[in-house]
Amino acid sequence: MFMGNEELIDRVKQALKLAKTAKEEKKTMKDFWDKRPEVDDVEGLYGVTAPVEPIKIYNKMEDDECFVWIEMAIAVVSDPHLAARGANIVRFIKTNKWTSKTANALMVSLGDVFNNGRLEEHPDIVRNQAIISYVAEQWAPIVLAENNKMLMMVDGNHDGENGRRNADRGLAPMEQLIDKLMQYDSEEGKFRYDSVPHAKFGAVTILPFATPDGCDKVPLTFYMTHGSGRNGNVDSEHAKAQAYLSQCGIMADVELSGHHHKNTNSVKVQQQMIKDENDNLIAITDKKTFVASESTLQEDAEYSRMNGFPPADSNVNIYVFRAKVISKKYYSINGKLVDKKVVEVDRPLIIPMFREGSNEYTDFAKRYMEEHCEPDMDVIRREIRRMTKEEIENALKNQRAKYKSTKVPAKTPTSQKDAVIEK
Amino acid sequence: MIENEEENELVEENTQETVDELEKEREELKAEKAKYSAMIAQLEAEKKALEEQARAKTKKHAEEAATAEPNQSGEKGKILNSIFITENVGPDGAEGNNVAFKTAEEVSKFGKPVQKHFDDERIARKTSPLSSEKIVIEPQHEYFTIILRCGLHVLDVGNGISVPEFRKNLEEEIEAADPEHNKVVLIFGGGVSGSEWKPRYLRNAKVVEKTPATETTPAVEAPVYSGVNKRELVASGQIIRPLLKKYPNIEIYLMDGAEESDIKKYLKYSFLGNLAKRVNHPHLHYIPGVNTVIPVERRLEDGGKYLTTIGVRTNQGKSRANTVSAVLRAIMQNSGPNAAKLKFSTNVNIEGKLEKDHFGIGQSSDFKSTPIGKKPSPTEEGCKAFCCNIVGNDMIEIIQGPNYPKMTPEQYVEQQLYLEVQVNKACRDELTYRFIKQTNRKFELTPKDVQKLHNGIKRVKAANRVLNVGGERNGNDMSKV
Repeated sequence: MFMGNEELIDRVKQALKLAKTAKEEKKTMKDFWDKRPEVDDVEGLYGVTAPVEPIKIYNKMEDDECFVWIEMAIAVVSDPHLAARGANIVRFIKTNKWTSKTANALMVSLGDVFNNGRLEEHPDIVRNQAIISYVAEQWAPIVLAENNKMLMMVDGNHDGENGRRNADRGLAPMEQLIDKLMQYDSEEGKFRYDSVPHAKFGAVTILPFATPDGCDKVPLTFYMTHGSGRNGNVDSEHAKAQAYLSQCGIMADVELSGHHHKNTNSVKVQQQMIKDENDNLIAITDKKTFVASESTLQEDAEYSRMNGFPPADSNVNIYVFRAKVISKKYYSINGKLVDKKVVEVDRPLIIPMFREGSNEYTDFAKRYMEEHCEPDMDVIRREIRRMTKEEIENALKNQRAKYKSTKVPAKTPTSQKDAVIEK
Repeated sequence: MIENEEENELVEENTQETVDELEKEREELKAEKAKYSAMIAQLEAEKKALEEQARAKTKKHAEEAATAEPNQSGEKGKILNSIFITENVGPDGAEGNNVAFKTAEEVSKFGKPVQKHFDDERIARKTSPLSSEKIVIEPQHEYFTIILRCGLHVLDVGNGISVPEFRKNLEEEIEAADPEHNKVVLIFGGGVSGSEWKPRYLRNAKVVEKTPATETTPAVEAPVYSGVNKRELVASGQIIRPLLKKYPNIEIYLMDGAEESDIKKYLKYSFLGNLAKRVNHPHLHYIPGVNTVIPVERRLEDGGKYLTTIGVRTNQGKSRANTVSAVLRAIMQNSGPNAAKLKFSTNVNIEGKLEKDHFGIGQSSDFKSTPIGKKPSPTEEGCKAFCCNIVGNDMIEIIQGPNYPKMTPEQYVEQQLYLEVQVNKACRDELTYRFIKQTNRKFELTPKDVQKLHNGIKRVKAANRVLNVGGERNGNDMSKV
């Protein structure tokens, strides 16, 4: 069931033993609560169910602390279903390693990290604790990295609280996970950023990309949610996303979802209105939204076995986005078709992280990690410790300007807002 | 009595009057009736005459249709027919026409069909046969890129492409794929010929002035119509030949789609086969059929090789499905199964990943294929190029994109800048750490000591409050205490 990692196996074995004895002795919920085994951190274990929140919007355009890249690689992890049958933990661990080692990489978790279900199926209240602390241990270096590498964490229907089967269970594993993550940042006593990027239902993130000349920022809007329903796919999720986003007045560039354990993607075309500062309509253009439904890290699930489905195509996809000069068509209100060059983030290149049938990285993923490798700060700090105070001060004096240079661009095209449309 | 007699006389007079009146009316009615019956008889006679005329007309039409050649109603039909034949096949006449183009005399010479005709036709339809064309990747090639295009509808007025724009986008994609270092294969998966070569498009074509009038000659008008011949010229002269000339390393494969199958059926003419013969280049290959499996051989430096297969299914031009599940069902219905490792289905309305190792390719024209009566929606510009790395027998790593994202010079500069930013942060951290350590060493203070100091200061302040030390601030003169 589990591949590798003996600590986790030991912890889960202990948890299972406790759960088994508890189950054999008593079957009712009340008796289980009264004679529950002693577990650390009992407080906050039995959380309160919260109502589904509306979509959260995270705008990172004004965040001056993070380094903004021309190209970013986003590793999307969906439906790991840890501690479930067929869950591939080695791939989960390797994905975290890849993200932390690649300098311009970010990670998105689309839910179903845990495997909470009905009490008769999974005695997961006890098992959860082991998995929560393990996942916190794995994700701490990603969340606490210099450039916060966790772009978004979204809850799934198996993560407690969401889904009708868990509505009355009183589980809150994701909140406990966030509490555990915050304990890792013990030096300052508080979390580096205001909050962990976490949403229960769905979230919109506006991520800045640098233009190729480094003088401006280009936004890319993500909408991330877990997904819902049975026998759905990318089209049903896109329809639901449009229903939610239209209420917020947002048109996302990328829509990511999971839940269906099928990897499909496509591009949808919509009409987008372009307005000037006074909200007057200037032109209309075709907006392309990249829509993707991610597959799972659980290869052999009970659900699929029961229904006779083949094993899922489990993999992690890396979406590589790059800001480029693109020629775009605008339909002005005077009936003219105008072709303009704008700087936009192009549709992504999709790289699979793992080779089929094994837990090795693909050649593409390995090469990308090596080329965009994060600098080894331990080695650098050791060398700096050997330097004298004067040498360090000289090094700081000779530093070049930051990525926000002060020079004025020559004739480079700017972002979409500044595109002049012929009237 | 007398009164009764008088009354009787009056009654008799009255009845006589009424009877007279009634008779008068009766006669009038009779006259009217006679009049109307005459009118009715006349109308009925006219109706009969009209019916006979109509019958005679249809009889005449039927006789004319039976004897006349198709698409002809007088002179207009003859002229249109001559234009159609010269535009599509040749001036000498239609070769191997369909039944609709045959005259009644020719049809009368047909023999009766036999079981053998059905069996031969049935056997000729194979699902996913292995193609004789093989793709070979040499050891010096780093990766293998497949670029697919379909649904060009060359010279179609309703839903076609603008050839210069199409070529520009295609050339950008080929250059991104780097044909000098990678093996690049371009597959045209059907929909090249278009569908507006059929007779009804000629009949309904818009007429424009081809050459203006001069002093001596009148203006020449022509219908905006392009037959199969012209389409072949454009496809070969403006698309295929320039690509082969500009990129001598790439291989181009041509596969029939629904439209090419229509041409084969009605005109008995292989559009893409003849196109390949016309261009006659060693890197241009024609694959007959709409569902095929192409073997791929990846040669290694040590002499070994990896084998795998690529499947292409093209005959989905008539499918109007708009969702992933509907598209997959339509593909199975139209083309059947395909046993290749990596599958592509062209001419579908969804462009992207449909399922594991199965990608859909949309049309290059303006609109998707839509049901009749519905508003057409624009095509999606998704991914039509795939960079593959063959790492074993039937083991392919696929990037949805023309090439591996190589680092640009701007990105390299950005990386060095990021490194400097990290180093500067580490330097600053080190300096602050040394400063704190130095100050702590002076007083030999530890964090616990600092905490104790704080607690001590708090206690002293509290005690001072009780004793009111420094009470001058409160206005009390404590000098006398």
